[in-house]
Amino acid sequence: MIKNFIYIIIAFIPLFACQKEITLDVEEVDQEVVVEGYIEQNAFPKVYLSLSSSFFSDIDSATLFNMMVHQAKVTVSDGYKTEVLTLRKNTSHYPIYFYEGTELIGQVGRTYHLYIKLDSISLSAVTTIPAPPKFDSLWVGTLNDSMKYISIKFTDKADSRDYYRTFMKVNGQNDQYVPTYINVFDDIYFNGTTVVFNLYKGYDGLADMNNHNKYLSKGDTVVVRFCSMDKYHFDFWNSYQGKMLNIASFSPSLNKVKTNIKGGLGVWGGYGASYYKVIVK
Amino acid sequence: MKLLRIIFLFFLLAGFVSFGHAQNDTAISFELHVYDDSTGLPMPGVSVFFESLKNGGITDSLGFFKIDLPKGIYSISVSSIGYVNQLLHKKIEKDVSISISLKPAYVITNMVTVYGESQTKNVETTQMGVSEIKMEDAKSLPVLMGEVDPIKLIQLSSGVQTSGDGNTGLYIRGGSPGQNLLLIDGAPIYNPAHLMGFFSVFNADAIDKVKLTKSAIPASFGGRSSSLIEVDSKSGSMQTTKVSGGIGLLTSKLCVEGPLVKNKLSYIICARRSYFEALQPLVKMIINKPASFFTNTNYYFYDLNAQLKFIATKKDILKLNLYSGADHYLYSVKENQEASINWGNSVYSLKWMHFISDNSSLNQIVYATGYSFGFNANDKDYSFNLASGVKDLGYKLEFYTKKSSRHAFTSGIEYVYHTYSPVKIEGDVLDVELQFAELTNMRAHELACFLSDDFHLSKRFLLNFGMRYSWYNHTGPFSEYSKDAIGQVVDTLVYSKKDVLASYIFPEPRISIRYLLQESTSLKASFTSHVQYTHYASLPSVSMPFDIWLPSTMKLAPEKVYQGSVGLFKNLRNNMFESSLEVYYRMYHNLIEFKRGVLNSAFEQSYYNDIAIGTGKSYGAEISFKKKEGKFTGWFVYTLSHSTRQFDEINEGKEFVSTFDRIHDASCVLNYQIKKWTFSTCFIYATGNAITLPEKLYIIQENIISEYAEKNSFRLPSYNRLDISVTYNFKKRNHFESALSVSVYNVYNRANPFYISFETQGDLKKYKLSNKATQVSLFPVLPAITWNFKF
Repeated sequence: MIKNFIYIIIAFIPLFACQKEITLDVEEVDQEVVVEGYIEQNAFPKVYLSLSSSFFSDIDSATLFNMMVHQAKVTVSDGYKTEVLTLRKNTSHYPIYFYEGTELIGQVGRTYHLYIKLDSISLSAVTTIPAPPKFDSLWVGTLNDSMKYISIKFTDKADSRDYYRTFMKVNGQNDQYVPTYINVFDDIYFNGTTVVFNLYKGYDGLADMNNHNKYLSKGDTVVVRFCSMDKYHFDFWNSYQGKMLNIASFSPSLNKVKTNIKGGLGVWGGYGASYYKVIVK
Repeated sequence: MKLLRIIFLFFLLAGFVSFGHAQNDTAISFELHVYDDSTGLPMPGVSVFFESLKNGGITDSLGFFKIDLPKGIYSISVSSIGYVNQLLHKKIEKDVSISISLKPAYVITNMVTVYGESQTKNVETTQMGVSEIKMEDAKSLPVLMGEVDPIKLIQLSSGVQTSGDGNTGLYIRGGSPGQNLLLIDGAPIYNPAHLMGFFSVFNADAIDKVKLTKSAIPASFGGRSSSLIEVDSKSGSMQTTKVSGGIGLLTSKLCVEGPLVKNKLSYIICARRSYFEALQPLVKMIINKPASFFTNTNYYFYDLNAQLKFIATKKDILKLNLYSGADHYLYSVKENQEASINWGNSVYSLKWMHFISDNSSLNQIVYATGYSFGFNANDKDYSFNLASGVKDLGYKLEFYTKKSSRHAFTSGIEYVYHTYSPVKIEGDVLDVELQFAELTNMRAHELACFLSDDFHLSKRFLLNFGMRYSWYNHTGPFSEYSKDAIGQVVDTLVYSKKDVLASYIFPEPRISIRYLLQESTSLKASFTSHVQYTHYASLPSVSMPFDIWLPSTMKLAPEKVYQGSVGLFKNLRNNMFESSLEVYYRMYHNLIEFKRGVLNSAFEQSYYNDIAIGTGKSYGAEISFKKKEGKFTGWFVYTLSHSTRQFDEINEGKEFVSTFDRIHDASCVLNYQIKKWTFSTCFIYATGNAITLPEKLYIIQENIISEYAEKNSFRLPSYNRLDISVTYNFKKRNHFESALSVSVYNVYNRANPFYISFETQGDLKKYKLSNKATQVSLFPVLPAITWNFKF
């Protein structure tokens, strides 16, 4: 939230500025395998795979299609049980292919290993599922009838460093849980205390970025998903969030988004999740 | 206002230059008093040169020069910046004392010399890498929006990287702006930028001259590691009250000066203020898409220069100087939602020049200087305040004495008490107070003593050897927190005022040598070392007002710079042309950089953990060629250079080029003077900035992540620009003089890149994606008109 202020300083620059689109002559780079996988308590693991691309290459629909990976062998193990995930399809998502378990179910406190084999490339990662966090209370905040948000209050544990992530799913608007506007945080500023946060709607993918409305409206039915993560899982999403917040800024973040995938990019993360249904009145 | 002047710029040596031959028993005393013909005041710093001896000296602050010579017939050249040269032919057979007056040379020609030498001085002294500019003569040069800016003009010197539009930062031989010792009347000034760096804080009307030294910085200057920039304010007239001013597009200014007690006490007050807010409706018409940030903005800056000069006795002169300037920026959308940025500098100094005898003098200065920055933002739900600043209290004593014709010593001490408040952030969200990292109120003592000698080994060899010893103590009161693995404060160490937290001592030897190959050709070499105890960090990629200054501590050792340079200096056609070639190599140690920017570090509560410490090097060759006299004057400078950095924690430890590395950097300035008209043009070419580009993208959560290539591995297009100006000097009527300047900045409307932004658009569900690179340029072709007056 505070970071938004920084951009006000930066936005002072374009008083006289004129802009033009330019073409840059940059060399192509090698492709890497990108993992977006998660496992939650009482649910099957789910993994999306894709390939990276050169930033300035011509990206048409065929390129985007070819960046999807559907011929990999994806295996998840919790130390007791090992399962090769099954390829499935969801045409309302990019990438449309995903790998999902049918037997192995997430349990709080367990460690999960991920192994991916694609031709001669091997990737691996490990994550844990921490205990789900709980809200003390949540309520709807109002600016006016079409500008509402959700306020949450919760008490952080004092004896540990805790990492959180928040999502929202608005019935009739979202097919999946969409991360809230600011969705990744840890307890560095409030360890062991009770805090209040406001949750606003986040971007539902790239297409939503330009005409984004961060407010809820009267009549919306919302499910809030409140998750805890381990440190490596958090590091990925925290650096990802930093990148996303910086996207429209004058001084983009040059930092790389971290990864916990050996041999590739992306994330394999365990969530301890709680769900809360709210009807916006 | 003396708009039109000829310039003969001279090196002002640290003291008199002694003769290269031994004294003999039949020496005769020659005394000279030099006065300004227009004011009748004694003229300090006038060059007195004996042609047959190939040597000479300068007048002291009372316009007095004395030397012992053998009997003979001498041609004596007496010259000073902006005055008509006088050549005296004298048969000297007995002790003699004469007085002469120099006439201002403003009707002869108009020329700006960025390389400050006179006649053959550039060849004869040990000084290297010096550029000097006299503001009176800069007024006919084409400038941005009619605003003559001393710092922008210094940027036209060799070895100073072109920083581009909207940046007054001086990047000298690969150094950062924070490594320049910028002195206004002997007192340091921390942030020389107005309007986010578009203009410097120096009001050209209040400034007499600016001098930049890149090599062989004398031992009497320290505390910064890259260069020395001395800005001298004007002194008020001791004779008559004068008013001068200027009306420009962006600012207007007024100066009043005159005697309080004739020939004893004078004053000068100069004020300048922008009226940008009044021009907002006009700018809105010009700009296609006025950002809401612009329409809701209220911005102004001002500065004030004042001086009292007191000639107490024949041997004592006192100067009380004041500089105060600030920028205020307010952006408000509606009630309870606004952001403001305020920053500024204040400098106060008292200088006492005491002349003990003909051969020795004592200069003392006491000063207070401060820089502060504040950023406040408030919204319905949250508030955010950030403050940063630094204050210095300083004292310097400098003693000059000429012991014999072979040795001239400069010695002294300097003490500075620093108080740093690097960053203090307060914020709350919905009345919940947030805790940020703080770096407040750190204190340090810096003490130095120095000694240097101008030693004439022979007629051809001149050696300047200097040694500076500096002591530094970081002291309390200070509190240090130790934290556990989860960031909780587990212990607090409290230091009192008497406790020393860190201590450093360093010698800073400096040596320079000149070998005279011929009468008008010399070879020079120098080696200098510098220690900088105050670290500088700024927001990456742009020169923002938010610079922070950090003291050296136990964890943060002082910066060190070593520089070697060699140069060949030659004058042609009876000193009408000056040329030089200089090569240098510099090494930087303990440079700092914030790994993720200053502000990001605040969110992590750990500044020192976020500071990367590294090294740097730069090397290059500088060529300059200048025509000093005649109707047609000008100069051309070219620098070929390279500057790199290496930090273990940045760019995976690999060496990278610094942002303002310019492989090629050239500028050419031409002036043509005909009757009351002056035509000027200026052309600049520089290799583009090194920037970091995204090279890879991937998709997570249906969003695009861009991954950046190696730091500064891509070059922006080159920076180039042509400016022209025409100045007409109206006929002087009843003491009223005025001149009208019309200038055009960026004549061929070159879109020089200021920065490049990237935009990714599309809808992955529909298999659509596009990446756009957009170049933002600051200044298109910009005409300006300025009217300057004086009565």
